[in-house]
Amino acid sequence: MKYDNIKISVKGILAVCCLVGAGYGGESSAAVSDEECFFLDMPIVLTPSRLIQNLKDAPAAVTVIDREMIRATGYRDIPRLLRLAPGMQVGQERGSTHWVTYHGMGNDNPSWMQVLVDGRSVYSPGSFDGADWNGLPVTLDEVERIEIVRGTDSVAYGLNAFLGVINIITRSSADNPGTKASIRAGNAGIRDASLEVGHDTPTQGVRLNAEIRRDDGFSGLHDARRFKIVSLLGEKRLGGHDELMVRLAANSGTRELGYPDSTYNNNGERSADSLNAAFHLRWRHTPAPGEEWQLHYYHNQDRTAEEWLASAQLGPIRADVPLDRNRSSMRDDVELQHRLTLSRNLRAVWGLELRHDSVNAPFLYYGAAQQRSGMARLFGESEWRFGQDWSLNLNALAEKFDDDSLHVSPRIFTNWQVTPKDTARFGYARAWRQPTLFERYGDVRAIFQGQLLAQPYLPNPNLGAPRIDSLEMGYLGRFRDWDTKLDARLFMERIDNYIYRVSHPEFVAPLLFATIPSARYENLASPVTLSGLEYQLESRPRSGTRLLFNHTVISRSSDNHAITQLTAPYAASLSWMQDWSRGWSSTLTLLRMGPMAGGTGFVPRGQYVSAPYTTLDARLAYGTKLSATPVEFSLTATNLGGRHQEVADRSEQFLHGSDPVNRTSPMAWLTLTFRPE
Amino acid sequence: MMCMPALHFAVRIATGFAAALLLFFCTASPACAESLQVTVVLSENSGAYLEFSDALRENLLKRNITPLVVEQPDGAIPHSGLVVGVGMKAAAAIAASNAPAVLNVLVPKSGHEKLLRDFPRRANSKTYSAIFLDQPIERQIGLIVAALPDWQRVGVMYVTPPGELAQLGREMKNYGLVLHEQAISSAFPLNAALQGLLKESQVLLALPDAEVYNSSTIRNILLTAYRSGVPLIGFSPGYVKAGALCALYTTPGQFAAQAAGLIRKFGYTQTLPAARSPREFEVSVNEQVARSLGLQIKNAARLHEEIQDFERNEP
Repeated sequence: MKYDNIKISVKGILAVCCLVGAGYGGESSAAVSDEECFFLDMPIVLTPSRLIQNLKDAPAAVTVIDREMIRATGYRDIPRLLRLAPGMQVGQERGSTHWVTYHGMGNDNPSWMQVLVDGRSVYSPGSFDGADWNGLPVTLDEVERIEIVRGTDSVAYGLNAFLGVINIITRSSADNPGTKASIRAGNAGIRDASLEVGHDTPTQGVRLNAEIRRDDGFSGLHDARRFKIVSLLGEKRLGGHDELMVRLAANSGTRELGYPDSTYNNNGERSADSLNAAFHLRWRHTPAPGEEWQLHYYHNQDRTAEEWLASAQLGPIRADVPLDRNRSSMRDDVELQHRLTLSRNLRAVWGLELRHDSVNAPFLYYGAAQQRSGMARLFGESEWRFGQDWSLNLNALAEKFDDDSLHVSPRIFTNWQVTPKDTARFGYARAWRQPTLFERYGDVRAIFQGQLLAQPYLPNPNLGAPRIDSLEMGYLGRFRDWDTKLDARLFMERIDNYIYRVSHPEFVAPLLFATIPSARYENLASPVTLSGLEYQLESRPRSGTRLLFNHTVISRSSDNHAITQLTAPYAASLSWMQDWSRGWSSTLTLLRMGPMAGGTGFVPRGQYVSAPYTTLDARLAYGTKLSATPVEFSLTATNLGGRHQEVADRSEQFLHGSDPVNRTSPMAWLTLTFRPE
Repeated sequence: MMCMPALHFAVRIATGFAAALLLFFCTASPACAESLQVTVVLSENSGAYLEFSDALRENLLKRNITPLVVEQPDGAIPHSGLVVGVGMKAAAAIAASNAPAVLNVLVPKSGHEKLLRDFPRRANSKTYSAIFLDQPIERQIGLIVAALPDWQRVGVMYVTPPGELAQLGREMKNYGLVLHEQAISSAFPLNAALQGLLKESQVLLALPDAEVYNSSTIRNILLTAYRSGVPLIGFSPGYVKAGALCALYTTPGQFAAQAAGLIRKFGYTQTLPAARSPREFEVSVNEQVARSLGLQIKNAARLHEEIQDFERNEP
């Protein structure tokens, strides 16, 4: 199954860029006299949803990765940036496969935290209900900031936000419009290019971003990837109070997966061709600066073609069994949200959302290729400032999936501003996580001439929803010394009904059960508890210097020891960003990750834990002008701390004992950017 | 030798007394007001111009003066009495006419100065005056000091450097503020200028330069500044609505009240004082933006009070 007819062509991207440029280039900006500028009726630019809730008022710990940081690191992927937030535990099984979690706790395709692009969930039933980080239809140039809510936030973002939220917010077309371009080239076949063309007038704006990302991945692995992303944004402002946004984006590409020596080639070397497309429509009505209505509709669609041949020697017979993970899925979602300021001290937001998911994957859902799921939710949040220094956040969410019972998630937080520079936060939240379609209904069978050879995934329709009870205490402080900010979170998270994969020898054993075990997802009878401390210290000791230190320590407890190992007991990172003036700047990031058993695949007995590692990323940049055009040259390198393993493919690793199969490799690239910010 | 503050105080008392006397005589002798012919010429018959005209009419009617309103600048401009020009289009038409006594309002200081250059006969005239849209420098500094007392680095952008820029820098220095200025040109466009300025500044002070601040650029400026955590201080309520932290401005009603006072005095003295800044002002604060940026800012009434104190204590 190929999707050649729907791949994005480079020529097509360039043609659209030219059209966009031509269509909007001729419009001149409104001429206004000095006198008129006193009386202009301005649009509400910083609407309530654009305003970031100040961390002092937020009912959760939030880390913001801003554009300064995105640019300073020079990274090519969003997941690598996420390593720079406390509590995040991110690893790469290979260059093109990211394992992104908060406090570990992920299954094969981690989906215990919500991932949103401008409020649009990127989780896909077609990506085993996880996020396809390579396939995200968003370019790095578009990203304004990434907000990471550390700790459960289901009450605001639904049941997927069980452990936290990654909220990717893209720039408005009015934000620095113009033409920008960059090219990258480096070792491991790195050949990237990106282009942005944008134009903005008082009444409308349009921007087109296109990006090509290519590399050969980690050395020694079947790991090349070739991706093209195109994203078209249109904004129409109707008077000063209404704004219509439409975004059309697609990511199409190929990545290499698998290993040459997997058992029966059941994880054989192969290519996966994917297309992820999104259509997002948003109407924003701002009757007054403190009030806003938003109506969203989005449609996500993805398709993946991933086929290969497994073969087993059954006595004298060689059984060639075609395997595939071909899948396609669609998600339609509509959401209404109303933010309002009830009084000087009372603000509220309420909303409702309806969603429909469907997935088609004959090989993953044996005998029931088409799976569907519906969801409805209603939520409300209020922020009440009582007294001069206290605020109280009361939130609740009611969510209903298909025939499951209604889940209600409450949250109560109080923030106390002890002094203008110190804020303490105390809170409790309860949330649920809806089991994914694949966890419940995934049924994968390898059949040869009517004989069941293997059934690695068995369905479990009775799988219950895990529940988290989270208690936390937070502190936000500012110190004059070195212009320092401290954001600390002391947490205790108890997860009941944890979902994990369990082997079932009592079922009718397929022929190759001994080597390809049958397993299904089940709820753990006893709770899993995570408690610990994480903090971020940010300092600007002198002009041009920014230091960022993240540190997390987690104590894990469960009757099932293997589950505790899914979380690294510690992680830390130190970033030093320096502006050396005269156009020179540099960034160094040192990351230390504790032992962690993250990864994909299933081995019934025993648990493989990747060893702790330390790695170094660096960037050196020089900005200048080439015939009046600002340009920047930069050299970026990642994984300089020696080759190490981050997360494993458990089945493959099992074949190789303690010798890490999939080590990272250093990558370095030169970037030339025209019109950097 | 009398020390300066005492002298200043004495002058203020004397001025106040003289004004009170004038007011008394004008009120006591309606003849001088009744005989005054006032014509209000609007640049446009809408928006702030119309709001001003309605408020002035109301003010003058209380004093038994019935103004004649000319709704377009190309309408007939009388050759006698006092002509009030509302906005630059009206002011330009009146300057070119034979109107003997002229009071312009809702005009920027730069526009007024240009008219004096274009019509030299109007310069140094005791019957040609204006109330500027622009706020006095010390008042703007007063707002920064009152709203953001711990902040020092103030950024401004312009295409045409305002005449008072050097004075603004000097006065700021007196209050421990540092002015970072950035000229915008075709070689150094807005985006580049803004990025550079935001690195140096803790707060942006918007200047009424239409080539920098207009409805085409305001989104970009506000979004970029906000992303850098730098608040904008505006010069009209529209800015606060759009997302500026606060703004200081004079409403059409306040302009009308001040103009009515000058007109009454003119009825008695047949002269107009020198062109000047507006006397009354308002302050608006966007509390949502302040809270989002983590700023503890005083409310508008308190800021107004502190700015008035600041102006009173200005050396």
